[in-house]
Amino acid sequence: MDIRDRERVAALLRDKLAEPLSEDALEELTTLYVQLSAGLDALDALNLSHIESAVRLVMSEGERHED
Amino acid sequence: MKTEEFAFTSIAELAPRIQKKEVSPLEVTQVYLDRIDRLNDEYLAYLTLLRDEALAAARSAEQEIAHGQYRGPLHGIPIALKDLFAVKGVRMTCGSKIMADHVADSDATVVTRLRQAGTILLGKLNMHEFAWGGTSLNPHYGTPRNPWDRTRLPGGSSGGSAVAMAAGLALGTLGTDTGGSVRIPASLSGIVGLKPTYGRVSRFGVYPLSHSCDHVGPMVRRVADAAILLHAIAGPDPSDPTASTAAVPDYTAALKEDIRGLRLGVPQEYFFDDIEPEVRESVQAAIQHLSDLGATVEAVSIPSIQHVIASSTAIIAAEAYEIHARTMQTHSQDYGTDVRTRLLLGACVQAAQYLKAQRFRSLLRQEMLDLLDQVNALVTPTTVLAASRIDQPTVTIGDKEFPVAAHIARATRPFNMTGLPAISVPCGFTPEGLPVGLQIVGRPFEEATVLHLAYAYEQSTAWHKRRPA
Repeated sequence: MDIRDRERVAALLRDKLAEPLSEDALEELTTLYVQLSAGLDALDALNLSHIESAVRLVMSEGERHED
Repeated sequence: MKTEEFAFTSIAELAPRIQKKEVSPLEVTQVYLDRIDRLNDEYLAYLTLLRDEALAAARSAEQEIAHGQYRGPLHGIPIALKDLFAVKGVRMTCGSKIMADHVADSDATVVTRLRQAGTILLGKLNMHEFAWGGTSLNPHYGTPRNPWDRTRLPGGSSGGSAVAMAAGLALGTLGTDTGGSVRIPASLSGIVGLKPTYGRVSRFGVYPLSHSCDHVGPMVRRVADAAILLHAIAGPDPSDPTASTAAVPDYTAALKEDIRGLRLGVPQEYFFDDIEPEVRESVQAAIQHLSDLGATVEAVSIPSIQHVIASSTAIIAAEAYEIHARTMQTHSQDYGTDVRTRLLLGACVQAAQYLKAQRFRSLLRQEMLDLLDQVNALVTPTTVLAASRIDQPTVTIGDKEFPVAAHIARATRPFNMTGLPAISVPCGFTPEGLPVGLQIVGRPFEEATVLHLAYAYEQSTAWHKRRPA
C-alpha cells in the first residue's frame, strides 16, 4: 500500500474520531478509499460535466407528480 | 384453520375471516406471541416484544369489529417493525449499542398510519446496526438467523423483518431500503419485499441512513399483502418534504393474473455478471415463465451501469457520515467494526467526489427512464448470491472472490440510486434449499405494475408455498 494514501486517509480523519484508529483499521480503510476513488475517477470517461446533479432531481420527484 | 396455521397465513387470507368474526384478533395475536416466546431465542428476530400492548390492542380491535366498526384489511392484524421506526414510548435501538436505551417520544408517520388501519404491534425487529450493511451481522444483539438454514445470513439490513416473516413470527413487517435492505433479506429469506418509489412513503420518524437513498417498504409472505400494506402507509406527509403528493391508487385492484401485453426488459450487462450459477438458473427460468404467461421479454442495455457501485457507495457513505459525524467524535468505539469502517469511509469522501457521483446518478436515472419508455418493467435477479454462511466473509464465483458484504447489494443498489419501485418475489431454491428472488422494477410511481407482475408470477408458481423446516 502506498504510504501517501495512508497518510491522506489519516489526514482526512483528523479530529473526526473519539479514539485513534488501529493500524489494521487504518489500512483496511485506506484500501477501501483507494478502491472507491478509483471507481469515481472512472466516471471521468463519461463526460458528466453537462449533467445536472441528482441532488435536486431526486428531491423534486414528488413535485413532478403533483396532482 | 388450525391455530398454528395462522403463523404462515397471509394478511389477504386472514382479513376476510377477521371481518366475518370467524377469527378473533386476540386469538391470532396470542398465536404469534406464543411462537415468539418459543422461537425467538433460536432466530433472534425480535429485539423488543410488546406483549401487553399487543394484547390490549387485540382486545380493542376485537371489540371494535364486534360492534361493526371494521376498519379494513389490516384491522386486527399483528405486525412488527424494524427497530428504526419510532414508536412513542418504545425503545428504538437501531440495532446499535449507542441507542440501546433510546425511547422514542413520538410515532413515525407510517406507525400512525398503521395504528389508524387497526394493526397490532407485536414488537421491534433486529437489524444491521444503523441499517448500514446488507448482512444483518450484529455484534451487539446477535445476528438474526435465516430460517431456511440457521447457519446462514438472512440478509439485511432488515434481517429481523425477513426472519419474522419466514419463521411465522408476524403477519406483516416494515423494513427500510437504502441499498437493498428490504429486497436483499426478502430474496435470501424467501419472502416478498417491496421498495416503493422514492417519495411514495413518508420517512418521518424513521432513523435515516442516507437521505437521498432511503426508502420504507413492506416485507411480507405474499404479494397481495405488500399491496395492502403499501396502500396503508403511502401518501403525502407534511412532516416529510420528500413525501410525494401523487395520488395513492388501490394497489389490490392491480393484482391480476393476466400479464399478456406487458413488455419486460432484461438488462444484458451487470446483473447477470459474477452471479452464482444456481441463482442465474432460477432467475432465467422465472423470466421464461413470465414469457410463457404472455409477457413480451426483450434484451435491453444500461450502458453506464458498471459505475453504480462506486457512485452509490460515495453517496450513501457520505450521507451516512453526515448523520453520525457528531457521535463518531465522542463514541466511535461504540460502533461495530464494520459500521465504523463504512462511516469513516464516508468521512473521507470529498465534496467533489460526492457531486460527481450525484451527476452520474442523473445519467443512470435518465438511461433507465428512457428504457422504461420502451418496456413496462425490468426484470433481474434480486441478489447475485444465495444466503451465505454467517461465518463466511467472502464468496467465490467462478475464479473470482468477492466480499459477501459488498457483493450482496450488487443488483439492488441501482434502484436506490434511481428511486424506481422494485419488488423481490421468491422464484426458486438452490440445490441446498436456499431461496432465490426475482427483482421486478417499474416506472416511477407505478408500483401497481410491479405488483401486478409479481402477483401473476407468484400465483402461477408454488415457491411461496414452501416453508422452512
